Amino acid sequence: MRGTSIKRILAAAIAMSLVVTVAGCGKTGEKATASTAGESTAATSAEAAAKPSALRIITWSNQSSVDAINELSKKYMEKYPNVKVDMSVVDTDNYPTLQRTRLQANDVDIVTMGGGFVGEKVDWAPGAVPEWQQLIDSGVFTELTNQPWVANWSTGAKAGTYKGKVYAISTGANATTGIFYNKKLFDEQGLKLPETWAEFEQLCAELKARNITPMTCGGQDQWPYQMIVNDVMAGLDIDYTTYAKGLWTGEKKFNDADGLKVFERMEFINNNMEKNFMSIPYSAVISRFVSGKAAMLPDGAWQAGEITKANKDFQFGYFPMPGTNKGVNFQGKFDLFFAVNDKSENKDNALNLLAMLSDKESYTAFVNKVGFIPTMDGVNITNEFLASLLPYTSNLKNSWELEYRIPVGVGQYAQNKGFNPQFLKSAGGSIKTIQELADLTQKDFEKAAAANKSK
Amino acid sequence: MTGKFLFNKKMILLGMLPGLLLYFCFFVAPSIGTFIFSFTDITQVPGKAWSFIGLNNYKELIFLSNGRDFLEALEKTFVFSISTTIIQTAFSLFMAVILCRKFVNYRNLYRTVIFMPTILGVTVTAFCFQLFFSIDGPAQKLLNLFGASSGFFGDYQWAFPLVIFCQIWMSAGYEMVIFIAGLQNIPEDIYEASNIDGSNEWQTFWKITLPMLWPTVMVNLSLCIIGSLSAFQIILMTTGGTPQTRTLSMFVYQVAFGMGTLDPNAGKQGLAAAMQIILFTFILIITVGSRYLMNKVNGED
Amino acid sequence: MRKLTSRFLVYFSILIAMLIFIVPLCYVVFTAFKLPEEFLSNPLGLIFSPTIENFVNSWQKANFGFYILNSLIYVTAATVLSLICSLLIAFPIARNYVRFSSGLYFFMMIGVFLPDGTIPLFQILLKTKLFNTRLGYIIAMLSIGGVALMFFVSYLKGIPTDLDEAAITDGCGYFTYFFKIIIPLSKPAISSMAILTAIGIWNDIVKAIIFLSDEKLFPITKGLFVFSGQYSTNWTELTAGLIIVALPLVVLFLYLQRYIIDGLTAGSVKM
Repeated sequence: MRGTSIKRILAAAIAMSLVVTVAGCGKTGEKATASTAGESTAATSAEAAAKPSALRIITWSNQSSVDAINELSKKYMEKYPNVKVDMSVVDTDNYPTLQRTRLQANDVDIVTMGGGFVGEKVDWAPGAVPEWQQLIDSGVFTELTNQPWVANWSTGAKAGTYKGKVYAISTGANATTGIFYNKKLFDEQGLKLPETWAEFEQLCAELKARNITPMTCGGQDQWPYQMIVNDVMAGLDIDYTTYAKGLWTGEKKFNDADGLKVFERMEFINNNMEKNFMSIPYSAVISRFVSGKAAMLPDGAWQAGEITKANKDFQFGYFPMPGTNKGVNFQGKFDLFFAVNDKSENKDNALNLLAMLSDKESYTAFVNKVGFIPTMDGVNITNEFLASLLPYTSNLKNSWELEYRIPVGVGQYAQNKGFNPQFLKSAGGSIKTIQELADLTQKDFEKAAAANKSK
Repeated sequence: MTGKFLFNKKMILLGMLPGLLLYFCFFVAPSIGTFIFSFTDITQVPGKAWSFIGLNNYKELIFLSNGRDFLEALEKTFVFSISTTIIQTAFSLFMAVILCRKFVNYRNLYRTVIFMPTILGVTVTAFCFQLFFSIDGPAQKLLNLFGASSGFFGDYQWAFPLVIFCQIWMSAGYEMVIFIAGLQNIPEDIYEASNIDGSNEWQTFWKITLPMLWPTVMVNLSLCIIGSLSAFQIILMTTGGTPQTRTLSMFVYQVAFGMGTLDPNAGKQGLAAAMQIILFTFILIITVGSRYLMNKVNGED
Repeated sequence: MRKLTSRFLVYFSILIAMLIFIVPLCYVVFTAFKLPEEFLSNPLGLIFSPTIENFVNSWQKANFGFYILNSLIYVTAATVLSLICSLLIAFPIARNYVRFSSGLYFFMMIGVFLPDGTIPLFQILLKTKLFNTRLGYIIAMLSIGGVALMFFVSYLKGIPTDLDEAAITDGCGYFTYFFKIIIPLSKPAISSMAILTAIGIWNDIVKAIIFLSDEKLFPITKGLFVFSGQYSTNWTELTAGLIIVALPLVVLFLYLQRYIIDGLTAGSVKM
């Protein structure tokens, strides 16, 4: 086929120019001969006398993760003085771009990731190959399965497994389906934490009656609001895989009884949010919560560190968003994955860092600093907030967003987590009724799914 | 000029060489590259093999599922461009004429103020507006005086007009300065002749000023159209590219360099390139078409 | 009577325009001088105790000294390179010293109309290992041809050809003539284009995000993002930072204003 031969010529030309460039620069290709896991003594071993090398880490700007990684890096540099750890931090919105550009330029050694290897391409959802899968299949990440320290991790390694091989380690799990609440305000008003959806509705009505805004949210950034869909799904007793698959096979629809329920609850949330909440940037939401503009803040557990930073004396708690029945636990995702760039020249340095992290003592310090749920057994939790969550985090399940398979090229109504209630009038959008939005969503999904299947 | 080449031709060509080389390698070649990429499925994923997929990208945009979003972006692009061009040109022309009046003191001061956004740049302007239009900011309080409130950049209806306002705020000064320069080149005698005839200011403007200024107007309109069709920085910096404000150039950037890992379109640079080519086609049609129209109008004068 | 209403209209329009353009900026300046606590409690207060601590904090936190140096390097290198290249092409075109001058002119102008080549440029810089380097970014910031070239061509046409002929007769070399005579004569055009180009490069943010990922190479515009964190935006320090970023250019502009307007006027004669 003509296309292939053009491609071959181009590929040959590029390959030749690459060979020339690589041959020209002598720098690449020398591996840092750092020691194997956990054994070098800095002063005497020959490796320590090796030339200085670097360890480049990239991550996003969550203060507690950044702090935790910084401390880990300090310990690392004490142990390996010839390695300089260099960390680049950008805000969450720009992190995917940074990730891609650095990997493409082979300018990074350790890549941290927010989500794990979920949403793997399955045969009932053709066409949607998630990016992490593309990366692994292209050989970008180093396989870690046979590293001696992998066994230290209980859920951490499992979360980073694909096709039976470990490619990344999750260093903590995050609850995302909870609501922060203003403890002082609740005590003053004599309010109880709701345990069912009905109680939650009552609570909001009470707050409104007392002229207190029930909730706030960083709608302008879109994703903080869309995350609340996860919360609602958690409370509806729906089996995610069945639902996600059913959407593709036609057994489940966005506008069937279950789907409409989701929209209904989200509409309730819309109506109990601050006015014009879709124009509040995520970066403003903590100060609004802390200054009492709203009683509750549905958000991910990672915000705990930031709330404390904003106001040390602010008393708050975090409870799972209630569902139809009592006993809804937190759901969330495995987070702060560490993966190694297989093409990097500092691979050994990177593996050493992971080895160090896999040591229970280092990890305990790390996870308490980050404030995530540990993915290693037997870790002593000293972080107060974390300890308060533990009763609800047994068997942390993946939230809805990680099961939904988005068809390639789908229209905006069915993007993100499938349900996009920001288009409803109650959120400031243009669509008046739930039924209308549900129908539009279903149409968008069907069109794209059909196109995907026929490829 | 005598028919022979006067200077050493080799030297002249040598002088032109660096500019031509740089221009070709880093402007023309990449442009052609965009065209080529639009027929591939190249992505940002490093090391991933890419191949030519013919017209699939275009088919996806026009016929398939997210085609509707693409068409909405296209529609927004037109509205954005036309509104910006017309309002901005009218405004800058008006201010240029006013600020050339001899009786206005401190003319330079006013001109400088209006030109200030060009000097400040997109980043500063965007932050300035984010602050001004923040949920507790002055704009909100002003609206509250009238009993209204708005979501501004997050508002479903008003984000788009707001962004158009920001774009005009940013570029009107530049256009105005070009008009001022053009106005100052019109010789005085022409005005004196007309004053004798007793025509008032409005007639003066239409019959004398505008025709003399016409080449400048044409240049400005072209620049404005092209600029507004491809400008997305202010949109990116104020709203981050929400669907209500997503013009085509904003869409291209989002798709090419990705925002959000779960977005199925993120990083698909082949698709982004196809969008860019479509956008370019429209720019071409509009620019050529408007030039043709303007020439016709000018010819009839 | 008519004259009175038209005068009133003029002044009224100026008033409205000034309000639109000054008020947002004023608010930024006010905020920069407020104490953070005062701002949080009363964002719109006009009465407050001024402080310069925001500027100090801002400067240190955002590492401004360092970023300003980067920006200076980028602006100087890219502006000088762009302008010299454009001039060296504009002159032969204006004088018609090369065959196909008008074709060449068209070719140089076409860059303005062509589809944006950022994506392939990105790939090119990657392959040539210029990604995330100073040189790579400077290349991405070059602007040859386009408006500047158009300006130079029309301006240079205004320089009498007798000068060229005199130079030839005296046995003056091309480059000597060019740099010793033409360039000084073109000062108005050069300075106005220089300012406009420099402003564009100084204020760039999108290309900086795409082509630079190493903190040490960031220009000053990226420095501002330190304050617009993901979880909280420190407005008082951010506005102080905005003023720091904008001030050099504003001062420079005010100082060179005259040249810019003169240059634009001279160049637009033949437009």
